[in-house]
Amino acid sequence: MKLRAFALSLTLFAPVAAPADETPAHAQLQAMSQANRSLEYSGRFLYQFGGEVSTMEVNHAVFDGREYQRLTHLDGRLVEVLRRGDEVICIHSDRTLTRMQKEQGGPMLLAQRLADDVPAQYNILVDGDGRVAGRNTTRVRVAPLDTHRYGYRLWLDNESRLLLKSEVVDGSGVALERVEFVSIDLAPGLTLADFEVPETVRESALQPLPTGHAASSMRVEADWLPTGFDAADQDWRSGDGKRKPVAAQGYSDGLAAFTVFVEPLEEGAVEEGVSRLGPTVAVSRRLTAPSGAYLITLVGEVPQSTAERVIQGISVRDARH
Amino acid sequence: MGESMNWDLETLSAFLDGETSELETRRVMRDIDDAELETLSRWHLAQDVMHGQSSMAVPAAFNARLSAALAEEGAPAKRPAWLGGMARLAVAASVAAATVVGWQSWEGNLSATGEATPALAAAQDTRLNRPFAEASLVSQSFGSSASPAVSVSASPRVNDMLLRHSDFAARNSGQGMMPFARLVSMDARNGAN
Repeated sequence: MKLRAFALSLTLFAPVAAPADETPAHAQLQAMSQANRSLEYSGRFLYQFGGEVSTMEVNHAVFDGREYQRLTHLDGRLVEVLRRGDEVICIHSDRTLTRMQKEQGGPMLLAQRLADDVPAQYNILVDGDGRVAGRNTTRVRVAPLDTHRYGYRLWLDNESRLLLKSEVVDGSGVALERVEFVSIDLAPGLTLADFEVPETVRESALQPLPTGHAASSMRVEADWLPTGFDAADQDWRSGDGKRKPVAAQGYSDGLAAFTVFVEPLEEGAVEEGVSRLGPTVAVSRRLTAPSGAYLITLVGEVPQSTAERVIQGISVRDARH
Repeated sequence: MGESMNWDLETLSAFLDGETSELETRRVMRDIDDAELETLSRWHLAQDVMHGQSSMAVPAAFNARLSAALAEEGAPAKRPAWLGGMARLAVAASVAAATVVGWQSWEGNLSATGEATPALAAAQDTRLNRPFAEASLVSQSFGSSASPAVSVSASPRVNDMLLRHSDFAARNSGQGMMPFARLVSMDARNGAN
């Protein structure tokens, strides 16, 4: 009898207690995402992976409800990524330009991801405080519950809630990649002119493939995915009119993402193997299916062991065979 | 210790991937002998690392020796056979970092009690040094002419994939600005061919 009463009290209190437990860290993240999208700011930050450091500048503003962002590489070659509303453009160092996919149905926002649907594979908690770019911050830790994904450490500005520093950390707590603002201006007075597309030599958009093309009949299937990862985006575009089309299938657990590329293989050099750059791993594998030979390449921010396990279970179906 | 060089490559690789047990880790530290350390230091790898040089080629002689060792032993059990050429480079890069581990472990052993504790300290150092190994690996695998395993055409192909992946990640990963920062950095590094 007592036991039943106890059980009843659990069912009564549990739904009330659970959200209360989650609120502080989630509220922080939601506020952060909102701030990052809606505020006007201009700042310079260090981008660090492995032993390499880049300096970059970001300008962000909202005009007429449209989000504008310009990300500029300050040292070495001049490369920029420009977002104008739903349009995203990469301007390469030789002043050519690639138009990337337009966002479909609105961006998948960090706030929505984390506040409404916290990936179950992560634990989120407020971890402490610190100072970044001369400002007081709150540190939030996003810790993975298994070894198939990386964790994150986030430093949020106490005043504006902007994300001022973030790290991708591996299982042993070592930062693989870091973004850290050194200065930020919260009233830079930006205008539309600050987000103009520069004069470019040549423009190349990611081309949609004609229907019925070989690649569009291919289907990528994964025998094994880490818990929480779902197929998110199919992408049957060719990166460049001159090269062969490469089919792509994206996967995400809500925070981390990787993309599987499939290209039909002809005779010649095969670039199999593994390479890593900060948290990004690229793994290639040759696959022989009834419909032909393919080169499968996985690119993403997951541990190498995870990438290798996923790619071993990738199969390709070609509808024409 | 005669077999240690071949045996270590596999274990060191696993070790650097954090896949070894503490016991194995200690064995790796213990079994690097003087001769190996000397060979390794002759390659100046450790020296380069000490000076924080982030990108350099693994000496050709080392690759040759490694290939011979791998051919003799067969592919390391933990690495699938399909990994082929570049996986060897990965192992080579791992060993480059492992050189530093050996070095530091030795110094640790000399200066401290000679017990296993310095080895654990060195293991911590390895993790810090691991990005170097990656940088070295990447310098080989992204369009370096030093490596016969990688054709020159690899660079635009991989760049294209990174571009598309960054695009996808920016829309789906919930990592905010990070995928674009990655893209910008890699694009600046690789050129825009």
